[in-house]
Formats: sequence, C-alpha cells, structure tokens
Amino acid sequence: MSATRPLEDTTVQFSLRARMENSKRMLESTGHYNGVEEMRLNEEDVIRYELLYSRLQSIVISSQQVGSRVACSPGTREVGESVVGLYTPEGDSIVFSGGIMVHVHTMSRFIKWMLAHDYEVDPGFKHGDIFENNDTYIGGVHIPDVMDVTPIFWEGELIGWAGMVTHVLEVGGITPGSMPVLSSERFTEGLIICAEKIGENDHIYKHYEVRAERSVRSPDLWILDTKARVTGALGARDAVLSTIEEFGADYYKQATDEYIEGARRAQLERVKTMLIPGTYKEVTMCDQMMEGAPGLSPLADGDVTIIEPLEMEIDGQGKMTIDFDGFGSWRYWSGNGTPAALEGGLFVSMSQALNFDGRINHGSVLGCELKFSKGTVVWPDNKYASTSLGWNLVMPGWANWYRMMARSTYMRGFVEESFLFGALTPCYDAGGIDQYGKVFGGTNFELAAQGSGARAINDGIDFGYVLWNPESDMGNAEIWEQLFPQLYLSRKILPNCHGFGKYRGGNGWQSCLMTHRSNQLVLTTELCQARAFDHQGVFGGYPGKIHYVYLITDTDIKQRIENQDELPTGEGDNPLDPEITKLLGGNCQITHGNMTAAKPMKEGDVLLMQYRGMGGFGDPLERNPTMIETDLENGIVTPVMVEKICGVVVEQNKTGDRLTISVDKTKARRQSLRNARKTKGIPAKEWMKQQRERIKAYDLPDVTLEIFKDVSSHSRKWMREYRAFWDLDDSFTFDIPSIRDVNPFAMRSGVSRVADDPLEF
Amino acid sequence: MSGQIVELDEATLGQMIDGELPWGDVHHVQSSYKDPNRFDTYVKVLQSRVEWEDPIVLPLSPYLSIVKNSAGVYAVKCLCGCEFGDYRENWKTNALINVRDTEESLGEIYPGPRCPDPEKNEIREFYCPNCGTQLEVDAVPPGYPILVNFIPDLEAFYRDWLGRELP
Repeated sequence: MSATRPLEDTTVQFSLRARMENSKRMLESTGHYNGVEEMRLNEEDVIRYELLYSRLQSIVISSQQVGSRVACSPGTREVGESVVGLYTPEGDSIVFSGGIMVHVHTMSRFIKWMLAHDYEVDPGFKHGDIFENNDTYIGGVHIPDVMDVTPIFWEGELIGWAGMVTHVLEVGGITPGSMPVLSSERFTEGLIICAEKIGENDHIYKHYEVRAERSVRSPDLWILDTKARVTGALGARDAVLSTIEEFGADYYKQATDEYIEGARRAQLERVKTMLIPGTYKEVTMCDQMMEGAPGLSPLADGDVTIIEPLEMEIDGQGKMTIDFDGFGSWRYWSGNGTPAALEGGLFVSMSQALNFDGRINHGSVLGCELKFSKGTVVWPDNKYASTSLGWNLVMPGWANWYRMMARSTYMRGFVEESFLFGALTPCYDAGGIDQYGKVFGGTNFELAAQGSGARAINDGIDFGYVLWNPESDMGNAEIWEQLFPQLYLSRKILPNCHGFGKYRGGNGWQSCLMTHRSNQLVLTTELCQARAFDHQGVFGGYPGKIHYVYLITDTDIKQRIENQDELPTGEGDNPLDPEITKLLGGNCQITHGNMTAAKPMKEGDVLLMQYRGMGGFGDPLERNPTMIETDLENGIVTPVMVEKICGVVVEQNKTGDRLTISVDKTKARRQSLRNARKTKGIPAKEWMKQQRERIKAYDLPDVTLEIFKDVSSHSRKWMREYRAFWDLDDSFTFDIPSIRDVNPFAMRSGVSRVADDPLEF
Repeated sequence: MSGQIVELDEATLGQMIDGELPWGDVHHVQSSYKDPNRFDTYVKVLQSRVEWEDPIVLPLSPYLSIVKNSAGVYAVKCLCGCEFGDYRENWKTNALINVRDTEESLGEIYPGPRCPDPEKNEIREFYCPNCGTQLEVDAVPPGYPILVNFIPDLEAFYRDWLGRELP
C-alpha cells in the first residue's frame, strides 16, 4: 500500500477524505451528525421527509431481492445471506434491507478505508466503477462475506454509495467451504480481495472472473454471487438516481443527513425509555480443541480457550460505552476478530434488541462507544492473523450483551422485550469430489435456523433463530442434497439441548447425513464451542448444552438398506447410550467443537450434525407443568431430564398413550428440592474464603492460569478488579514463569480505546 | 395498532408478566411505541404482589428488587423477604452458592458428551437462603470472581430519566 498523502496536498484537500474527517470533527464540536442541529426537512414537511425514507427503504429491499435471484448459491437465493445498503459520500450508512445486517457497518468501514487511503486519487472514482472487498482488517468479519460498492454520481458530484454483501459458500481456503477452520494465518483463508476495483462502466473485468475460476473450488458459486452483488448495488444506485430526479439533489443530501442525526437522537431516547443506567458486566468463553489436527500449520495454536468479558456503562445521557477490555491475546488460529467485526456485531444486535423500527443506521451507533485493546484477539496487531472464523469470537462476545439487555429491559418493565437472543451457531463445511465427479466446496447453510435464548414471558424460538440473520431459514433439505454428495436420513429435534429454566431456551435439532456417490468428501465443522460455555442463561436459567458431532465411518448402512432394517435418524433420548451407534455399525468418533475429519468420508459414511439450543430464563423449578407436558409430547424434553432439573413427576396417563405431570406430586417434590438447596448450598462468603486460599496457591487448572496470565497482561483494570474481589495484595500476579505465556509476540497496550481510524488498519 | 403508544393497565401488565397474555396481544405491544409510564405501572404490579411494605425502587429480576428498607438503606430483597445487603455490594456474596465443578455434578445437567470441561468452567448456582429459589446461574472459569452483573446508577435513573427524586 502506498503511503497516504498528507491532507495539506491540494489534490486531496477538499476531497472525500477531508469531508470524512470534517464530519467527525463536526460531531465532536456540535454533538450532532454533520452539525445537523435542526431537523429542518422533517419539521417543514414530515410527509415528504418520510416518503423519501420509504422510497429508499423500498429500493434497498427490492435490490436485495433482485440481486439474490442472480445467484446460484442456496445461501444467497434460499437462506437470505445478503444485505443491501445506501451510504453517504463519507461512507455512513443511511438505510438498508433485511438480511445479514452486520455488514451494513463493515461495508461502511470498507468505504471509509478507501477514502482514508486516497482511492479518490488512485484509482479514482467514477460512475460505473465497482469496488470489492472481503479483507476483514479493512472491513469485515471473515472473508466469505464479500462486499461490492459503487459510487452514486449526480451531475458530476459523488453523492453516495450503494453496496451489497453476500456470504459466499466457497472461498478457496486450506479446506473446502467458506470458513476454513485450519487457517491460522490469512495466507490459508482463501481468495482475499483487498478493496479492489473489479470493474468499470457497470461491467466486471474479465480477469476478475478468470481469477475466481482458478482460485476457488466451486467458481459458479463465487462468480454468480459477485454478479448478484453487483446487480443489487447497481440496481440500488439507478433507483436512487431516479428518486433524486423526483426529490432534487439538495433535498436528498439534507434529508439523508437528517435520517442519520434522527437515528442518533432516537438511539439515546430509546435507551432512556427502555433500559436502566449503570454498569453491566458479563463473561462468556470460546474454545477449540484441535491440537494435532491434520493440516494445522506449525505455528498454529490447536487448543485455544479464551474468556470474553464485556463491560457496558449506560450513562445519564443514554450513551452506551461497551468495553472489550479483558480479552486475551490474538492467536494463530482461525478465530481472531477485528474492531470492524465487533462493531458490526453491535449493529445486528441493536437491530434486534433495541432499534427494531427499521430506522437503524450510522446514527444509531453514534450513541455508542466501543473500546478495544490492541494486541488482543479482538484487535490483533498482526494483520496476517486469520479471521476465517471471526464469528467464533464475535458471537460469544455479544451473547454477553444480550444477557445485559435481557436484564435491563426486564428491570425497566418491558418484559415483552427481555430476550437472550443467541450465541455460536455450529455448522459444517464440505468439499472434495461431489456426486457429479466435480471438485466442489461449500457451507451447508441449514445452520441458519437454530434455537434462540429464552424470553422473560415465553420460551425461546425453536429451530428458527440465529443472531447474525434475523430472517432465519434452514433451506429445503433437497437444495443441500443438490450441492453436497450427501443424502439426508433425517432432520430431527435434538431433545434437551436447550438451557433449562422457568422458560427454556429455544431448542436445537440434528441432521443425519449419509455420504452418497462420493469417496472423497472432506468435512470440517465451524462456529462451535468445544467444552466451554459460549453463553449463559439468566435469573436462574441454565446455559444450553455443549456442542459435538458424530462421525461414523466404514458403516454397514448399505447392508441395512438392502435388508430394509431400521435406519438411524439421530442421537435418541439418551446421549449416554446413543441410538445412532446402536443402529449403525462402524467406527464412531464424537468430536467437540471445531474439527476436521482426519480422512475423507466415503460412500455410506455418516455425519450426525447438531444445531444448538440456547440459555434458559428463571428457576427451572418454576416451569409450568403444562408447558413441560407439551414439550414431552413434542419430543423436546425427556422424562429423566425434566424430573431431575424441573422437579416434576412424570406419569403415564390412564390409557398409557401420553405422558402427564402429576401436579400434587410435583408440588411436593419441588418443595423438597428447594429445601435440599438450602442444605447443599454454602454461604458464598465462606466459599470465597476457601477459593482465595486456592488462588493464592495457584491451585487452578493450567488452562485457567494461562487465561488469567494472558488477560492480566493486556488489562491492568481486569487485574486490579481481580485482586480487589479476592482481597489479594498488589504483589499478587499471574505473571510467573511457571505459567505459560500463550502469545509472547502480541502487543500489550494495557488499556482499551476506540478503534475508528482507518489508517490503523 | 402499531405506531401508537400502548399503555397497559396493571391487570393486563400482570398477565403479561405471568406469561398469560395471548401472544397476539403481546406482539401488538411489541410492535407499538413504548409506554413511558411502563416502569411505574410495573412497580405497582410488583409491589401489590409482595407481603412486605418496603417500597420497590428498582426490580432486578423475577425474584429480587432494590427496596428502601425500614433502616433507609437501598437494599436487595427477595420476594420471600430475605435481604441481601446494600445494592452497591454484590448480592450474590450474601446468597448460598452451589458449585458444579466436577464431571459428575455437571453431568446431572449435561450428561455424557454434553458435559463441559470442569477445568475450563464451572456452574455456580446462587440460592436464596430463606426460600431456596435459584436466583442466578453463572458459568465461569474456576477462580473467576463472582460476577457483578449490574450496579445501577439510581440517581441518574430517577433524577435524569424519570424526572423525580429517589423514593
């Protein structure tokens, strides 16, 4: 990258870059976006003002729909893995469609990065140009999220940008699919397009397509997704130009500034209306166990466990300061994140938890401040550190915020909005040789429909939620059978996989897939936690279960089919004695978390994939027995587990065809369990005394000591609070030689700060 | 109808808190502008359900509230009447704790392969010492401080947001 020109250079003095920097100064000096103190157009004629907004919203929604139809990827066509947005000249978002809304912000980062690096001078901007990016350090979460933007010119003036993002199912990485889990440096992530001009005059360069054809495993998926995105962006641009003809350019420019300033004000007011000011703290974890996995780089950290502490302060003005201080070092693994990714996470989270009126835009995030510590896993000081599974980090991080929101809305009395949302969303990538004899790769995006966390007045959403795309859809089984050499033996409820509570988390499900017409099927799993909790329940509810999959090779399934024997469809009711291994001969491997199958799967080999349930709300002993009866009938819970955790007594009805709950016996059992808690629980202060001695002696598991040493090396604040809680003196430290330093090369800045300067990336 | 503020009376809000309001009605409330008086109605409903007299200052959970007790202290109090001390301290340190930190104890909730690794995390259950309600469950690494989930800024809430002094 050539050096950035100083602003004093007359060529760029009045450029978009100067405008971008001026906009920031205006906000700081006036407190208003671009200095918009009066909502003039809104006040003069609110109908016309709203009409333009509706028009713009229609444009992005219809452009997303039209663009998606150009793609051949089921991810884009069926599951809705796309988004279209409109931006101001300086790259601030104005309005966007539904879909993967995290990228409204990452696309904004992309535009700002180009401006900061003087793309206006070289290669220059003109009508019909197409710019593309999937470099996460420029703006993104992970490289399958490819974004294309085009400038909008009116009478020679650049007055905005239109862009579209899709999640491409195959990216040409070290393993097939879109999220190569073996990638520990960017060099193995796949095809990276770094803020590149890929076309002009509304036409994609031929050499772009040639490169894609020769760089990814399923080029049709990549190239037609590019055409879909370009169609969406150009369509939105043309529709905006028609709209400007009707409204006038001056009106458009002033109105779009007011939409952003309006969203900023609405954000602060909404916080003051719905939440409670104060200081919130939560923690989740993220881990993988891949030490020794075939294909790992010698540099790679196979086993990684990190904690994700989050602190949020809501002040008297309604401003949220969200601090990622306390995250540990970046690692040589696929799960690093970037500030852009975490900020994008805020966008998609706020669109569900607070700003659900379709008016969220750049102004909404101006009411918030996010802080990161450079050198940590949320802001690696090594921009070659892989972010292939950036979501592995982002989702548990934001699961903290959802617990804060569930708590805050509940306290304020908006119980209908108190919702635990979600966390990690396991999936699998596949590739190798497909059923047609071709090289292929892809992600099975049926993952886009899992269980949500519980709500304060109802259970979570079953089989129909993921936090990164509120328009959840698993797609038809048949469409995935066309793409992968696998046949579905079942899609089925996975009992008891939610977190229990008064209201349970949304439940998950399982897919049983048989390899078909291929002896070279490479399988990996992604976005899974291994054996640490990536989310929590709330107010006495438990988190959902740990994730794992079954891989069964050298099976006798052909014989079973020929004999017309019963075929396996899932884990069954008892994970200690799984149905699948009772019904299927072969070599069974149960793997936790992200994994890569050691050898390609062959014809007849079976994958039993699990999709998540999430955390529960409230004490499980308060769960309504009628709701448990319904769950029993639907196969969402089993008698053994609800008797143990929810304290009910399950009986057969008189005709022996239905399970019911004995209300009287349940009442007695629940009281006895409450009494038992008072016996087995010990006063927390006594327990703290015991723990303090343990900590002083470093009598903790190695993995935990390593986490604490790492975190304390990045955050003086975290260590200060740690000592204060356990009443340890200032000499206590985890920085002792016997505890391993998990990354001696990471920068240690010691404090967190805002990370919004594109020149730092 | 969306686009309007829906104010719920105490009976209807009570139904919603109990999960008994029909889902269509809940959705209507969700889709409407938020009622700025909701908090006051909410506190009235909750106050009418407890047997003690201390005024509720801020509900914290289905079981706990910050109240102004008879000594004038803003204290955390359970539905059953049990007090957990000043709200600026962590109420959990005055609760009973049960820690699931072995494969066996974790396996009661998460059997077999569903069990988390006790070297990485433990489940901490916090119970009310009086009524035995499970007030909170935290999953954290061994040796992690007890989470202080929330310390409210009561002054800012009452003075700046509600426009009145603390009760």
